[in-house]
Amino acid sequence: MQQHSTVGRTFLDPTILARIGNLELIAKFVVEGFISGLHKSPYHGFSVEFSQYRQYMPGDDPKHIDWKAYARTDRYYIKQFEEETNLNCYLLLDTSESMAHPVDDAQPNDAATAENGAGTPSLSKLRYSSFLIASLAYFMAKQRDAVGFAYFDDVLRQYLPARSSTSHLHSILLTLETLETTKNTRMGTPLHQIAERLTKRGLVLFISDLYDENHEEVIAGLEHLRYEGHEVIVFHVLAEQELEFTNFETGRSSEALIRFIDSENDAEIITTPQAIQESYLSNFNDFLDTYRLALRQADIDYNIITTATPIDLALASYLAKRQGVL
Amino acid sequence: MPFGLTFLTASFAIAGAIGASIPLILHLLNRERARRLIFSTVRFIQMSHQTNVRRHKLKRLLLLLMRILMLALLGLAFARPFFADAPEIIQKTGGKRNAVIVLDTSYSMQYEDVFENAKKEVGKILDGLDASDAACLILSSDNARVVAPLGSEFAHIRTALNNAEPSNERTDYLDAMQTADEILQPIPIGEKQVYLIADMQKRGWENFIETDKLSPDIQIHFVDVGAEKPQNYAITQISVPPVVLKEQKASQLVARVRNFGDEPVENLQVRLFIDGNVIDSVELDIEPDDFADAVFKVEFQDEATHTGWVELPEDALSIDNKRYFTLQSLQSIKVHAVREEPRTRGRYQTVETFFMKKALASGRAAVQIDFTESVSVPNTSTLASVDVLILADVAELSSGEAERVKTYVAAGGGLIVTVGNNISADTYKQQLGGETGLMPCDFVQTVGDALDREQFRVLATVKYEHPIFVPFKEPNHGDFGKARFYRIFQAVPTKDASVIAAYDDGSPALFEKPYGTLGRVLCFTSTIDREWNDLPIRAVYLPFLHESIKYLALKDVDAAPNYRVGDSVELKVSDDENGEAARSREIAVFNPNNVETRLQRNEGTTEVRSRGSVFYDDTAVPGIYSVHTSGAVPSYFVVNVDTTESDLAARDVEELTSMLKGTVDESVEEKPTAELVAQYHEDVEKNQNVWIYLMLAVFALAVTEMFVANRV
Repeated sequence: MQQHSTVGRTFLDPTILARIGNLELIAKFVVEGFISGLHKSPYHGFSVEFSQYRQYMPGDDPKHIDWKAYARTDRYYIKQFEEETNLNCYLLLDTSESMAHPVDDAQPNDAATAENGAGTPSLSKLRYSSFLIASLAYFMAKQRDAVGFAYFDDVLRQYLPARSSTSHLHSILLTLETLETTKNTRMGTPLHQIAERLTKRGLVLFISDLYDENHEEVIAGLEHLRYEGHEVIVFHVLAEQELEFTNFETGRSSEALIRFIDSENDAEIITTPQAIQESYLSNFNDFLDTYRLALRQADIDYNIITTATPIDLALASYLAKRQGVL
Repeated sequence: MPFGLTFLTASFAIAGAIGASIPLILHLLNRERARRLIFSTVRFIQMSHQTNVRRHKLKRLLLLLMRILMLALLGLAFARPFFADAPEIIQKTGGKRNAVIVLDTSYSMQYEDVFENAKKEVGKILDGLDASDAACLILSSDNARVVAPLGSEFAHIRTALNNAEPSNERTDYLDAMQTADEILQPIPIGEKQVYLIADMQKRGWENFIETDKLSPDIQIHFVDVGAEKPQNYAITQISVPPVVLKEQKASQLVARVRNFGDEPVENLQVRLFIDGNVIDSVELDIEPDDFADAVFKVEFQDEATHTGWVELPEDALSIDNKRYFTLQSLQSIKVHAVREEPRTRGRYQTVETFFMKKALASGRAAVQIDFTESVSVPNTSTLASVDVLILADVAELSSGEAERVKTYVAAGGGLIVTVGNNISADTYKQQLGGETGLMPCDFVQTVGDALDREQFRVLATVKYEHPIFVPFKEPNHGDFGKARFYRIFQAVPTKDASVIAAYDDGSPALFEKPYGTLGRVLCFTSTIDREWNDLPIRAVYLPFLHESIKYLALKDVDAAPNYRVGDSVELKVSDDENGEAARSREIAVFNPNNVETRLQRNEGTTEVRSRGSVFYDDTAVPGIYSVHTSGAVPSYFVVNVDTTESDLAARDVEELTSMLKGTVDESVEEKPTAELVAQYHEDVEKNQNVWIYLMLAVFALAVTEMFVANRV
């Protein structure tokens, strides 16, 4: 799967995708590009299996009436099918304020654009995540997998149960278009709530920057999902700036002070990025290691992706996991 | 300033100083101007920040200091600094030091423990000298005394130093400076140094003139041992009436006390001692740098010479708190008049001395005058007790009488000659006049008619500065112009005589002539009674007569001797008729410590410098000295300290250095050898090399700065 063409990869660059604007188009572009990049599609033969006829009862949708059977038997029969999918996928998205970082260049009207420290065009983690979810949902829909979607911050904001219909895909994409971030991140509770709701086992993809003060709760929530029998993939979305702590526009002086303002709790701190970079990276890696270790122990797939990671790489990660599930 | 740092191009130093402020300004401008950045979470920044910020601040401060220092040093290096004096060159002229140490021993050094400190300072200077050096000790008061000549045996100097005591004399540094210069000038090699250990009194430099500067190759070092803010008061002056007569109004003795300090003195007790007993005491308040007079009333019942002093309480400098004086008290003035027999005018007998007698008798309340009269000149012994002799219109004198009068006047007697109808001009000229005569004038002729009251002369010219006329000087103090003189004797002054009053036509009215050592003669060219004038009925007659008598009687005590410490005292021994015998007589002088000095009044001895005088030089101690001559009443003189020394105000040492330091005279300076010149240039070059080291320092700083700045 690493052998897809470089041309395709170029077009899958998230910053270029960001210019497209239409999520469905993006998803289609990503997925079809991704599929065509593969030498051979390993997945085929998905079809609707006929189950049985049932007599029409008032209240049934007339569109389900099998008119051929009526012609033959002069009775109304409803044609019933086996459930067509073989996998339930749940896409979980963290919409806390920290996900809005770095401020999206693709949204020129955003007043905060000027405060964006990044020197190169970038898109926010939330927008990147939207692309990723749209692409995943589209891809899943293509494969007739049922896709469910939920987003939350400290509470569960919306929950769309897993469906495989095209209209469901559209409603997911519509929800993604209207996402808004909120100030708080307390993901433990919503994760538990979701775990309670998901009755059918499936694949859970959790996309977040994991900036939860209480990471034990997050891990407990994920473990809960795992306990319910779901396969869990964590996409840890980070901005390059957070990961490397560089690329601050400090002008000529490397000594320039920056007043860092916390996006969630408005805490402020003035410091020189260069001076603390080493120490920051050490602390940040400790944070990553904490999740990496805990999630490995819980047999949860943990992927760190940055807003610059091509989206097909995330798809590949999903596919690999799906293969294991099936 | 032996190692003064100077710049070749000082403007760079200023530029460097300005440049050094640039990093500071930048630092202040950039301080705390942080850009805002919204970040997803500051949790990890916060964790890193705490330890880092302190280190970061320290680093920035260090960088700031390095940058400032770098620019300052750069400016300094461009300014090309060099050391003004090269110490090596001085050393090259020979390592030996010649130090002349001048120790001030004037009485101002008796202030507290100033003198002991000064001696310690001298000890320190001696300690600092090497065996190869030479030193010399001069004790300086109003003259300089070399107590240890220039040499390397410091033990001598130390002995002389230990024996040194402060004197009672005043300060004169210039003599000592001159002596030091004379000692050092002929020395060909080595450093020449003068050390002055003193309280640097202003008084000691008063007479400085340009030529008193030291030779240019002599270094002067001042060691100021004076007290920080000296407080001192002293009796600077005593005005004592030389003779206290038994007068109704007691005489005044005025002591002037000056406060030399800068703090006021309150309730200062001033005590008067006469003949060893406290007579009176006065309290004074004196403002800083001001004076006040203590006025004492003195009265005596006897006729003697008295000694005494005025005393202040002890202060830090007590030598000037006592001032001595002598005074004489007299019971009365003895006046003897010689007149002709009473003459008959009509029914009345008139006596020439009638008005005079009345006048002198009526003045008893003021001055006690014992008046006697006779028709001939009394004998020698009687004359000896007379203070003033009056020849009132005496017609003729026998040669014996004339001799007696001459001897009397020569021995210090006072004589008044008045004229009248009886007087014979020729007799006077023969007996008393002439080149060696005592007459102040030669009579020429009488003019005017005593009976014609229409024609008269008045006294028009009076020498008011003469002691006789001083009391009449002020307006409304007696008008001589009112007296009318109908007849006078015209006369011309003889040698050494002076006219002290004259008539309106210019004819002299009163002559005066000194005779002998102390004798004086007055000659009045009109009658002393009303025969030729109406002076006796005028208001000025009585005081005029009294003043004249006092002037003649008290003349010998006018100049009360008041000597200063160190003065030579001339002791007069009067020649009497058996003078030859007197010359071999011994004179003993007792100083205030009762140490006796015997003076031989023989010709040829050192003390005898003029005929009739003996000189006494040992007046180092202030106080009362008594002079005893065999067969005579002891006489006294007093010696006081010179109170100009009491003003302890000091002069600034730097000012003195520039004042005394001579300018180098190029023409007389020795030509330095080629080796010395080369050495000099090398030294100069070495002194200017500072900039290289400064540039190296800048370079080192720049490298360090780069290293520190890049180490995040």
